[in-house]
Amino acid sequence: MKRRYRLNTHHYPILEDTEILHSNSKKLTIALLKKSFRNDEQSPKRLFIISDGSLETLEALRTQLKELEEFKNKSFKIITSDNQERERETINNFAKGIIDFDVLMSTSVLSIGIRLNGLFDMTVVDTSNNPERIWTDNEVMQMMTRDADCPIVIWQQPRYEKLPNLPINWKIPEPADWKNVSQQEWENISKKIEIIYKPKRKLKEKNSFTNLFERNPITNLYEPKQYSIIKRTVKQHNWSIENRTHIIANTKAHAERLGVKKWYDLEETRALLDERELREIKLTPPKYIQEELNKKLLGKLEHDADSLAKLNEILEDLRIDTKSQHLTAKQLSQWDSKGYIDNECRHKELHSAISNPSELNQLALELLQLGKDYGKMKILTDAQFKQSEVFKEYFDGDNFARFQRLAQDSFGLYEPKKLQTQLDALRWSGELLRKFNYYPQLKTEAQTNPNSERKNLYQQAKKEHSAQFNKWAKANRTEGKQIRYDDWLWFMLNDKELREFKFKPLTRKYIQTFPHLEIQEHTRRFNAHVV
Amino acid sequence: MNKRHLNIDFKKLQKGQHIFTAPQSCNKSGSLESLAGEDVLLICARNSLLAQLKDRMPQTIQMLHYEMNLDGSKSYFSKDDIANSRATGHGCNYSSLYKYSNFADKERKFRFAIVDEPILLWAHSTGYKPSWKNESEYLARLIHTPVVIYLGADFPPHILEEIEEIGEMRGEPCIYKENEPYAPEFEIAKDKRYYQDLYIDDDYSYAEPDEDLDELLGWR
Repeated sequence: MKRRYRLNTHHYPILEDTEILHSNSKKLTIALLKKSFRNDEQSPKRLFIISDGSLETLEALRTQLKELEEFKNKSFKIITSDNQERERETINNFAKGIIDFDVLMSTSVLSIGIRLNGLFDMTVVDTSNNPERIWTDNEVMQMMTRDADCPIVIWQQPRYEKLPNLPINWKIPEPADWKNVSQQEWENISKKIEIIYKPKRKLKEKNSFTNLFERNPITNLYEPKQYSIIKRTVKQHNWSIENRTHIIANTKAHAERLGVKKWYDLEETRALLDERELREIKLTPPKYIQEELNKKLLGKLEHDADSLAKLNEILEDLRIDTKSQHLTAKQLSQWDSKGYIDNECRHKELHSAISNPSELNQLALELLQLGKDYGKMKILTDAQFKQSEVFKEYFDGDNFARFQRLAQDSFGLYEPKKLQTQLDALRWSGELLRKFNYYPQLKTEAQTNPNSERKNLYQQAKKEHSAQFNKWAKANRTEGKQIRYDDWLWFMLNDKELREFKFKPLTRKYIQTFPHLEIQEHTRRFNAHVV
Repeated sequence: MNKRHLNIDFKKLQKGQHIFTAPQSCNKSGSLESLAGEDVLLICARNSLLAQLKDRMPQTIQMLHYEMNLDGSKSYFSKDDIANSRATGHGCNYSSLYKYSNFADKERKFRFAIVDEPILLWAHSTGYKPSWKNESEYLARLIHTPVVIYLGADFPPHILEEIEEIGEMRGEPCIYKENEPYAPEFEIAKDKRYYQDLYIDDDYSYAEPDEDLDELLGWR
C-alpha cells in the first residue's frame, strides 16, 4: 500500500537529562518540593508548576507553599487563560531566557507551544484535579517538556484502577465498515454520542445536542450530517479511552522513548522521603474551601465545575473517594465532620455485639431498630416515634434531661438541650446517631407534605391493607374513639414482631408524608490520614 | 547522535501532505520562519499557541483571526476583514475557520496550510462544539491547498489514517491557480521525483528518511 503523505520522523532523546518522579498526592509533592528547595539561599532555585486545576486551585497551592519556610521569600507569578494576553510580554520573554520571579504557576494554558527551556530547576505537572478529565500520555508529555531542559519533573497523578464509570469513558461501537454504515449503526453511534457529549456541553450551550445527525425529509431516514466529524469523534474518543485507561504506564513508556534519565515509580518516589518528612506536611483546607462547602450545601454551586474541582482536589488529598464529581450533601457532611474518627469508632463498637453496651449505645440501637428500612435509608416518623416504648423510656418526663447530660458528657452533644418544639426529640435522636457515623436528615411537615398530598393518599393507602387494618381495628375498638389507618401503621412499625411487615407502595409513600427522620450510613474514611 | 534543533526549509516542499514528527522543543514550529512572506494559513486549536507563534515569527504569521485591544480584550475580524487583508501569512483557530469560507472572488487562497499539533486539534474539533461550518472549511483547506504540513510530537494511528483519507481526496484538480496546474494522480506518478515525495511505502513510514530529501529539507 502506498501512502499519500510524506512522514518525516526526527528522533531526539529530549529527556536524556531529566528525572521524572511520580507522585499521587499534593502532600507527597509538597514534601518533595520542601526537600529539594531546602537551603537554596546560596543558589536560589526556580520552580514551574503546571496544573489542570483552576486559578483558585493555583492560588490555594501558592498559599500553602508560602507557609513553608522554603518558599516564604519566593516571588510567584500565576498565568491563566484570563491573564495570558496581558502577560504576553512576560511569556515572550521566557523564550529569550528572561524571567524575574522564582515560581511560575500556570493552568494548562501554557501546556503547549510555549518555550520555557532552561528556566527552571524543577517542574511540577499536576493532572490530579479532575478525575473525569484524565489526560492522554501525549498531553501529559507536552506539559512535562515545556521546559525540556528541566532536570527534575514531579508528576502528580493519582493511581486509578480503572476509569470512572462516566459517559465520557464509555466506548462508542465502531461500524464494521465506515464506507458502508447501516441505518442501525448510525442510530447507535448517534445515541451514544449524544449521551456522552450532552452533559459536557450543557453548561456552555443552550442547544446542548451535537446536531451531528438529522432526519432526511425525503428518505425519512436518520442520517449523519457531518460524516467526517462523526468518524473523527468516534475514533478520537475510543483511542483516548484506550490511552487514558493505562495513563501511568503509557506516560512512562513515552518518557522512556524520549530517553528519560530515570523514571521513579510511586514507591520509588516515596522512598526518597522518610516518614517524618511526610508527617511534617500539614495540609489544612483553606478558608475559601470551607466557605464554598457552605455555599455548596445551600445548593449555590451545584453547577460550578471549577468549585467542584477544587473540592475534589481537597477530597483527593484526604484520600476520600472522588469518583463522583457531583458531591452530595451527605459526602460534604461527612467531610465536614471534625470528629469523624470518633464517630467511626463508636459505629464499630455499636455493631460489635458487646455484651454490656452503654445506655447511649442501647438507645442508638433501639432508634435504628425503630426506623423502617427503605433500602438505602431508614425512616423514623415522628408520630410513630412518639407512640413507641423507646420514647416513653428515654424521652418522657425527666428521662430526657438525664440522657441529654450523658450525651453531652460522653459525645459533646449539646443541642437541642430541651424538648421544646414538636420535632426536638427526633432532632436530638438524629444528632445522637450522627455521633455513631450516621447521616441523619430531619424532614419537617413543610418538606414532607407541601401540597397536602397526605390527605389524598389516605384512602388509597388504606385500601392496600384494608383486610389487615379492619381485623386489627375490630380487635382494638375503643368506645368513643375512632381508629385511623395511621394508628395501625404506628402499631405495626413499633411492634418488635411485626415491624418487618412489608407495606405496599402507596402506604410506604403515605408514611413518608409525615415529618420524619431519614437515617443513612456513612462510609468509612479512615484513610484520610494515610499517604 | 542527532542534532536537537531542526532547521527545515518548508519553502522547498512540493505539493502534497507532509508530516513532521519530532519531540517537543526541537524547533519544528520555529522552522516556519522559512515561510516568511509566503501565502500561509496556520491552523491551531489554541489561541495561545497562535499568539506565541505570531510573536516569534511575525514575518510568517502576519495576522491572526483576532487582534488585541489596548485594554487586553480581543476584537475578532470579520470575513470581509480577512478577505481584504493584505497579510499573506494568516493564523486561525479551528473554531474560527468558517471566516475563511467566502465567495470565490473573495476567497483567500494559500499555498501552504499548516496544522500545528494535530493531536490537540483532533481533540478540540471533536470535544468542543463540533461545527460543520468550521469542519467543512478545514477539510476544504486540507484537500485543496497545494502544500499541507502537519507538525506534531505524536501522531496516533487514527490521525494518520485520516490524513491518508484526505490524501485520497486530494487526487482531484486543485482550485489553486499557479504556474503549473495541479496534475491528476496518474500524471503525477510519471514524475519520479514528485512520486517519491508524495508516496511512501508503509514500511518506509518510520524508517530512515530519504537522504537527498533530508538534505534538501535541512534534516540531520
